[in-house]
Amino acid sequence: MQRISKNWLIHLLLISGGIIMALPFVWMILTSGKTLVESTQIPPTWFPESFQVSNYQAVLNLLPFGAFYLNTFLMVIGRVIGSVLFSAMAAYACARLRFPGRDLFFALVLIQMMIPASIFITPQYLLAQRLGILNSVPALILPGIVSAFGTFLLRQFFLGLPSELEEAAHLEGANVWTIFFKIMLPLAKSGLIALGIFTTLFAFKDLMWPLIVNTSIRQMPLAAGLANLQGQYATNFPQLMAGSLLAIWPMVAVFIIFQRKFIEGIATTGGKL
Amino acid sequence: MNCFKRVTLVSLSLLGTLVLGACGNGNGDSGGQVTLSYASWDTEQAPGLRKMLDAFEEQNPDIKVEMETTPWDQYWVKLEAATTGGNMPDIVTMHSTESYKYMSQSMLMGLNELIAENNIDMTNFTEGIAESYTYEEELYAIPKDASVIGLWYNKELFDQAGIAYPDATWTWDTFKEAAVQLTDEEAGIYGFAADNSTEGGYWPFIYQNGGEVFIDENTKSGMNSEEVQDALRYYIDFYLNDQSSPSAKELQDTNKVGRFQAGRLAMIVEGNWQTPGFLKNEYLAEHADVAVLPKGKENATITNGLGWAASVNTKHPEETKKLLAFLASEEANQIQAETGASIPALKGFEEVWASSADTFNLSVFAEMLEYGVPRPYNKNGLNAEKIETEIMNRVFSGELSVEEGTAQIAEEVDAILAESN
Amino acid sequence: MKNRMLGNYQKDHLFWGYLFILPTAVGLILLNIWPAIQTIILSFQRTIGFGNTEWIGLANYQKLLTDREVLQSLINTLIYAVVSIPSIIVLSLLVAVLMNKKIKGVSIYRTIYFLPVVAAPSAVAMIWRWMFNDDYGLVNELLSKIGLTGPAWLSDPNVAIYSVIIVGIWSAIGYNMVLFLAGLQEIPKDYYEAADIDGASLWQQFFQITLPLVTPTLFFVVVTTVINAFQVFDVIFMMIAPSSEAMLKTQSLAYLFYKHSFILNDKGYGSAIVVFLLCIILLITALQMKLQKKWVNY
Repeated sequence: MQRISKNWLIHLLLISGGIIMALPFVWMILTSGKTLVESTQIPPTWFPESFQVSNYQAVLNLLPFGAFYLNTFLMVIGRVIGSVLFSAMAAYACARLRFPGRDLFFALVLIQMMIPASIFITPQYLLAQRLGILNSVPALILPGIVSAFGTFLLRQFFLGLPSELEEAAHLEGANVWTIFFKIMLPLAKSGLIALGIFTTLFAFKDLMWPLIVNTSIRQMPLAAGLANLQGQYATNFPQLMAGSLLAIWPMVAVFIIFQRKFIEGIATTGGKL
Repeated sequence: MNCFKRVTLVSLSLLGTLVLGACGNGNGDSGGQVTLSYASWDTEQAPGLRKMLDAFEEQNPDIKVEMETTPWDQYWVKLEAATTGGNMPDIVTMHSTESYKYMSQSMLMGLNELIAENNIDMTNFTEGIAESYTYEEELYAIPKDASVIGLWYNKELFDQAGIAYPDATWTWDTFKEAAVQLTDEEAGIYGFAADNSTEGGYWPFIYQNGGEVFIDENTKSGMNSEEVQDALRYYIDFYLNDQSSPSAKELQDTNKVGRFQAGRLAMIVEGNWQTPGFLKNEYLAEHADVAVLPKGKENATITNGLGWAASVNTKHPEETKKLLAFLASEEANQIQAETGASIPALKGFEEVWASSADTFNLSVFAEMLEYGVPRPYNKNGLNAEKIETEIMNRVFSGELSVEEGTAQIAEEVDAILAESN
Repeated sequence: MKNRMLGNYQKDHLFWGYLFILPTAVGLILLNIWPAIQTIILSFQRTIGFGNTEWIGLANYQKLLTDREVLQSLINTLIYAVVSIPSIIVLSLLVAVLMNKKIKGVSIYRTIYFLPVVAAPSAVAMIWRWMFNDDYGLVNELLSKIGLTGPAWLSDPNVAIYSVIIVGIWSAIGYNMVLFLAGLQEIPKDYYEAADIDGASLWQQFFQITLPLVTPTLFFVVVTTVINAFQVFDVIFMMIAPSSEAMLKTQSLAYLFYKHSFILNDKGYGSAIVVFLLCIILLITALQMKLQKKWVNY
């Protein structure tokens, strides 16, 4: 009996919280079906009189979504591979290897996170210019190719793993690379996937950088491309919401698929010892 | 070791993509063709501007013009970064609040020669606009358009209250009375919105009363004068005394354009740049219209204008000059007016623009150009305006009286202006 | 034999250590550290524009210390930090623990709680501005139903910061929930099974198993939440109009930096403000790193 009432309470808590969480999202969906006049009512209306699919059609006609999706895909892949791989390496080094300068390096990692990102924009632009990659996909990948955030995150993960495993493997003659690749990475899978999700997320939401470093609309990823829907004085909100939904559904899909992966189906950690 | 190879391969291919991506992006000039870049921020005007550039390309088959539209919020950061890197677009749209920075640092191409060579008569452009783009006797931008502040109103609300629509006979008194009559507090409808805005707010009223925001050739603040104080008192009274306007604070919560679009405001003071947006809104297209501003001691409105400037370091100076000369021509401005993009700064096209959309009585803007006052401009304008707005917030809230507020504004603004002079 | 092994270990570590940190180190230095150094240098200069600068020594810092706006922004930032940080951490951990259980529909819940993180910022701003609106907002309407008059959430200078805090907390929960979920996976399920067999209550299990073992992730969340709180900018930018009366008592140091560097064209002064902010964050983070040993179980 106790278990049932506890579950009931948990559901209640989660649902009430969930409503507040989902509200803007529901608003986006509803607004994407409104007419322009409906969306500017005061007080705001909730439901459109009839769902205007034309908003979606208009947005798809106005903007090169194909190019947006492609650019975003490439940008995400580039950033995820780079940041997960390089962060895992650096994180493992900070967590388990001993060498002079390790703590200095980690301090730099932390310092990067403490600096407001707007500082980086102009210097990174100049760097991209010098590398000759302005207005291209590599420019989109550039700021995300290494990740201080990822390094710190994965360091915590590696530190949380029992060191007996490594000692055992080392006794059997494995070198650092083997230990890293064959033992530690699989164990830190949930951390790697979490980092992958976050990197994808940051890449998706990056607005300022793509707009600054790329000039033609065909080189834009989704978020930046959508900014073209925002006029200086007036914005067609229904269209903007339709466009935003078209832009984020891949992100939601990625999350739905991967959250299962890293919650369930992960080998027990250290339990086999 | 297999894994090692795999990882190395991945890293190398990652680097490879970077390099390849860089190579595959050659947007250089091929053969005899020259490509110019044209930067602007206005997504509304983009189609109209594109038509103008197309016409230019037709006449100049060797030149292609690529338009780069960056939203306003990112435009200036990007322009500054590009300019710092020596990568400024060939033609840039300039705004009067940013032009000083670029002119004083010699980032823009001087145009006196161009004007002379092409016999461009500067008096053919609306007065005052070119001044924001002139530095030390050299012109740095071709005036592009003229923006004007007018009185937008809601016909339906006027009909309901049984009042005649605003027209050129309106004085400050008629305006105030109408606002009161149009207010229906129970229904949440107000006659006017006296918000803490400068250009589209109380500045027109200051000039209508004979006051000035800056005096002495823009080296001192003109706020601490009786004319300014009377104008401000008139403006604030809409809320304070008459209750025909929401409070400035309420207007910050829900702004006046939003309320106007929702049919909650009978009249607002706003620029002609709202036209495209208002046209697209079905409710406004049906129920709104625009009139000249009421008359105080004199007629006055605020005008402003964008300019077309060129990079001083452009790799194609000859072609860039050709494009600028074209943009200053009647042909280009005819297209600009026809497509409803904006009122060209080149005189004579106001009616063309006005008739591009007959939903609204747009010719009132053309009429008002005659007595337009150029937007108060000086090299520390941004800072001065920020101070003014912050202090005015306290005047609107009643914390400071109009006298105290204007005295303080004058003091602080004078200090800033003295610093940079 | 032990000595030889230790000797090898060291060399192995040196080689792989440096190799492993190489890409990240190079990237960070080029992309982030070098710009940061440039910014620090800039704070001692006055910018004339486009890379032209004039050395003015400590003048920017002197101005900073006497600037009322800076002092108020510091207070605003501290209020934001003190209120939001514990709230975010406690709520996210609570939600994550709940989401880690095998309840019906837990995947759906997880996705719903993640939605704020992906929602378009403009949609988020619209919805919250509507909810907090004085005239017709949901919050004040609900309050009036129980007989209370709500304040002007976004335009009252004394209240605005708390509205911003609420939105900030709301935005951060989905994020940190994912982090905690990942960290919770590292805790062997056997521990919970054993505890169940022993008859431990849920509370006991939480405090004796979950909490101690999730400390590595908890440390990460605490450090990053603190850093993010002190850097708060987006949520203020979205919710409060720049010319609003409430801005003075809401703007954070990061917002002030943005205003001076990018709007008022005074990059030197803006840089001084951001260096000031950086020092504060540095101090607090260094403190946390030192205290790490006292409560984090590795």
